[in-house]
Amino acid sequence: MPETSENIHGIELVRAAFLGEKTARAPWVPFVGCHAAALIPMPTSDYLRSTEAMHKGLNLAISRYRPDGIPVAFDLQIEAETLGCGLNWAEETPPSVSSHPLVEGVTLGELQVPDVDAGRIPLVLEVARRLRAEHPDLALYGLITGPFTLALHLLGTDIFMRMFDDPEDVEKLLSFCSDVGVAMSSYYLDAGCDVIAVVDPMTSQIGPDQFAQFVTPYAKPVFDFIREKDALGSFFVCGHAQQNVESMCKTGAHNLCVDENIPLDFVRDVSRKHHVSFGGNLQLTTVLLLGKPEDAEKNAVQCLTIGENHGFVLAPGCDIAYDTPPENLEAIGKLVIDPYRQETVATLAETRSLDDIFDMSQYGLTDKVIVDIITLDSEACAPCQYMVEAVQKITPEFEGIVQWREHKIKYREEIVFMTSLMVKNVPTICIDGQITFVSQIPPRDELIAAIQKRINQKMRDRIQSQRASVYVLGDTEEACEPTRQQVDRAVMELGADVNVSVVTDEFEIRSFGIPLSQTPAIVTAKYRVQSTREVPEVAVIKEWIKSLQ
Amino acid sequence: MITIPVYLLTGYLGSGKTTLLNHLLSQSELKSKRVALIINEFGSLGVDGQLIDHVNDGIFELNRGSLFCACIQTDFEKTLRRIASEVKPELVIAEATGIAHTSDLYKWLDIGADEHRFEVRANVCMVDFMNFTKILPNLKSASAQVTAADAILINKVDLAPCQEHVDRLSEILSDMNPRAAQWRTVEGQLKWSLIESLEHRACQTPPAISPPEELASCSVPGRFVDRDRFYDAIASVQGSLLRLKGVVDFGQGLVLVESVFDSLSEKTAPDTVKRFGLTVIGWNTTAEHLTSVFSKAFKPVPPSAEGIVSITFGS
Repeated sequence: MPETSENIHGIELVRAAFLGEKTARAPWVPFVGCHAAALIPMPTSDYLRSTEAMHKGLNLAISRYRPDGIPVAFDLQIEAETLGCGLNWAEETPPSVSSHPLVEGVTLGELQVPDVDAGRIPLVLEVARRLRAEHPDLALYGLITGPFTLALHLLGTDIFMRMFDDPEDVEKLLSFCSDVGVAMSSYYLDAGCDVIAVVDPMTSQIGPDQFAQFVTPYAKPVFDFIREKDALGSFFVCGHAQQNVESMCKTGAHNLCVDENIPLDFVRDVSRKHHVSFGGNLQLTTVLLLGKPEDAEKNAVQCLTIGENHGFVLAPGCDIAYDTPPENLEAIGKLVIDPYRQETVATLAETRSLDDIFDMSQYGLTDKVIVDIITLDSEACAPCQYMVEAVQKITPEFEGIVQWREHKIKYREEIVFMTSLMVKNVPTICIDGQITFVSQIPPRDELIAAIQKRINQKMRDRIQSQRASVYVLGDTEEACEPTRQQVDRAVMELGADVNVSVVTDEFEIRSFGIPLSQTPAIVTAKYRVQSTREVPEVAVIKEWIKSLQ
Repeated sequence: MITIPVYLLTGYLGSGKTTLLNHLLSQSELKSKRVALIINEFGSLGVDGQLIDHVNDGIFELNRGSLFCACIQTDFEKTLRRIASEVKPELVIAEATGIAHTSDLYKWLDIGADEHRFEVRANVCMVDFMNFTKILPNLKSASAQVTAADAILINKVDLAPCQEHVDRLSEILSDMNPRAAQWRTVEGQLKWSLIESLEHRACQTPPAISPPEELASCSVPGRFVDRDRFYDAIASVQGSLLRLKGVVDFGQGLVLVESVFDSLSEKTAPDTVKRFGLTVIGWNTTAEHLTSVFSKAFKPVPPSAEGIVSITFGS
């Protein structure tokens, strides 16, 4: 095994990253919310209302994506629902709020902080408890609705006008939402969560001054509470919230998490200045949903490069889309624990615009069997070294028939070679241009068997390329018939792959150097395919001709 | 490649988009067309069901709890694909309240779906005369939508106390977006042909991260105000005052003062008020200037900037 941090517990990695420490690798926290419903599969509307379904869906996600942390639920309507907001349920997204109690006659004084048994709260807490028991090493995220977003759910977009008309009332509402946040944090922590994520996407709509007035004083008590409990707190925001990153650092959160709308290096620089860790910002739609595993890997490597394994959590910016292809997330799950894969992806990304791809159609037509080993560099990469040694050891047994070469992709021409062979992983063994062993070091017997198979294949190909014909010559079909029957019988008894042709045209018979008077006659001819789809050099053709004489 | 024209309708909730949309859908030019509507659930747009049944091919709701974030892009693109593959309408009207920044919408529409291509033909922003200047400092998308529009519809002009106030708002909107056409309406009474005749010019500005530079806002705390000095202050910023609001005492008890531009109203403040002072929003001025001017109205005048909390936008 390569020297990776695969065996480090997710919770330890997440904790270290949250505390701004350098980590053996960045923790990977896919925000699997409604996407877990697709894994079962079932509509989100059923999923988010069933403990059993959420428990099952999240376990599927955990086993497939190998995360270091995972949210119990990604639904910012749980608190709103208990407080009287109407919900519209959908099949592939979380529900949305359809009515706001504070504009429908309910007063703030009538609202109570939801207790632990309200609405769907016990449901998600039970999911948290089960996951805690089953995955003691995984960082469990409890997601709560941020005070500003919850206030919007309760009051609707009137809040933006009230911020001018009646700021005191808005502040009272936000204070209530902050209390709800503290209560929700306490429920999730009691159920075994390690991290509380305060998710406040609506704050992207306001500027830093309003953030200081209407967000910081109400988010801070939540993070203070989380810190008192020796737990970890993250501030999640999505949208164009670049203007507030500095303000977010002052809320008391250990960590900020952003989506692709904010450049990750900007967040890194600002948050480090404030000794806050950061996370993000895999692209949800263009990469995770619509891209391929290679795209997901590339995007992950871009994020990891910026994160520098230093106070950084690799995560998407928001709830992963319902029908995101699981293989994209699986690819990231494998990539994060494989530094060699990361290096390969990074190197390939740098040279993706290569236009000089080799024509490999003739590759493998030589007499010898060519074993190509594509490596990062066998001197610097342990698995590459083992793979090269494995090939090196067995080649003498083939007494010169097998020739091996190492291609280190730190050199440009070797990347072109790798791309031409359509190799995507390192290290890889290609036998006569065919990808044969990917990433794994083949056991000696398997490697010998694979090369032997290729040698046998080549032998068969060679025999097949030396095709032969038997010509039966005569002035009429009838005259040729007895001879042709004898030839057919001989071919059949030998089981030979030979073409039998009858030639009766006088000029053609003469072209064989036989006068008509000497018929019936038999001529045999043997052909050998020397080249295909190319114009060979004259010198090469001369060599072929010489071998005929 | 089949091009489907898209008409974007933006504007803050309450500006009158529902009324406008219902009015547009009832017009014969649109009744005869196959129209698909994309609306944002959060906007709670109450489009008249009967009109939809009669003339349209469906409403597509972007049903997403977490708004403004990258994940809505997923829903938006899925919706476009459904519209392209199932409905194949002659045109799409997309109501874009708070979905995202307009430049994001342009980007998403640009992706297209299968053999269909979506093309923005016009972007109309609706502005509510009564509330626009109030929202401007607090909601980024309010200014972003105006900046990106091909036409700005100033609605509810009948509620303006005088024509001059509408002209003032019109000037501010011109400052924010000089290239956009401006129309004034009451209850969204607008002909579809006007929207159809617009020429779309994509505004490629990056998403706004702050209110317009011209906007300035400040809060001056304090309870006792000298009436004459207060009116002097109003007069000295007359050309640049957008809004003023606060609870102060002119000597006869607490009053709630409020202005839209320079027309001032005054009424007894509720007993429950515990915070005193003025919040002022101005245009083409600075927060420092507004703070300095209104501080002088308080008794006693605060020494220099001491005791003054000012909030600054874009100065």
